[in-house]
Order: sequence, then C-alpha cells, then structure tokens
Amino acid sequence: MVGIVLVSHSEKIAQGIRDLSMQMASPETKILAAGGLPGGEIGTDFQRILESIQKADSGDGVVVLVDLGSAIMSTEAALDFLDEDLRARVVLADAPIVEGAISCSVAASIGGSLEEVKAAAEESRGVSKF
Amino acid sequence: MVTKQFTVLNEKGFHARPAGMLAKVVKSSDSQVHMKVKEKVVDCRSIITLMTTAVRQGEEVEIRVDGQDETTLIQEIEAMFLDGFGE
Repeated sequence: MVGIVLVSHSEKIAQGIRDLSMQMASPETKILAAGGLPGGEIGTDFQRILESIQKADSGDGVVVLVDLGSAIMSTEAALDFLDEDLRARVVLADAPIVEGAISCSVAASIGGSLEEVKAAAEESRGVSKF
Repeated sequence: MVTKQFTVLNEKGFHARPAGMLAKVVKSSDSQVHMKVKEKVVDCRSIITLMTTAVRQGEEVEIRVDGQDETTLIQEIEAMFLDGFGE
C-alpha cells in the first residue's frame, strides 16, 4: 500500500490533517505527519521528513504533500538522503494539503498505485468548495 | 444504467466520512457513478467533489450508476445509505 507523508510548517496542522485522513483511510494505511520543528516551533525539519518517508514506505512508494512551497526545500533535502531504491518510489504531489490528503488517503486505502494516489491528490487542485 | 433515490439518514449529514466511504466503493469499480442533489450533479469518484454537495440529514439524493456491475454496485450503495454509513 502506498504511504503518505504530510509536510507542514506546523506540527499541529500535519497531525490534524493526519487525524482527518485516517477517518477515510483503512487502519493499515500509513499516513505520517511530518510537521514543525523538533521543539514544536513553526518550520520544516528535513530529518523528521526523512524518517517519516522511511516509515511510510512498505515497498509501494510514498506520496508527499506539503503545505507551502517553502516546504519543498526541506523535502528535497530529505529525498537526497534516501537510498536510491526508495528515492525512486517517492513522489511529491502538487496539491492543496488538506484536500489532497483526504483524496489520496482514499486512493491509497483501496490499493491504488503510486501514480493513482498522486493523481488523486492532484485532482483536488482547483475544485471549488461549494 | 440504474438510478435510485436515497435519503441521507446521518445526523451530521453527508459529511467527510460517508463521502469517503462512497468514493472508495465507487473507485473500486469501473462503473460511472453520479450523484444528483439540488440540481447539482457530481462524480462520485471524487471525495472532494462529493463534499461540495453539503447534503443534510433528511435530504434526498439520486444515485446514477452506469457500468458492468451497476446492479450489484447500486445495491452496495443502497446498503450504505440505509445503514447511515455505519453512524
């Protein structure tokens, strides 16, 4: 099953989105919150992201979602430290983090492929709320 | 193609969790499934779009299934609505 990592500048945001996503996903879906700095402050931490990606992978790859573009830098730094094998099956989804997480949790929990899960996250882009 | 009307029984209405359950079942099938509510028609494959319907308890929706497994799929969907999506 594809894993999901949520990268946010806020620990609480990442955990909250995880809680919400787990409502849609099956209990075995690996959704990891990688938000904030180790002391709980606002920011993104490449070590936290790196470990989350490693934990989220069960062989089928990982989709990473970020809250703001500036999280991309820490995420890319984390990707650089992954072994080649794992690096090849980690993708970043260009999607709004809440809606993307919910969409792709559903896709992951029904056994979607890495491409399908990424696409599910990205199809939430530009959808009106009402 | 099969079409059926259902009433939303959930106290909290057709919120994120029921939308997720419906999208899951639909995504696992190759059939086209649409929900019509208050003149709006949405594709049930997309949980995000399903949630734009903002359906409240007691309101009715129309589900339209078109595909090879439409008979079994509509029954599965019916069971979910009748069960209040397990809530």
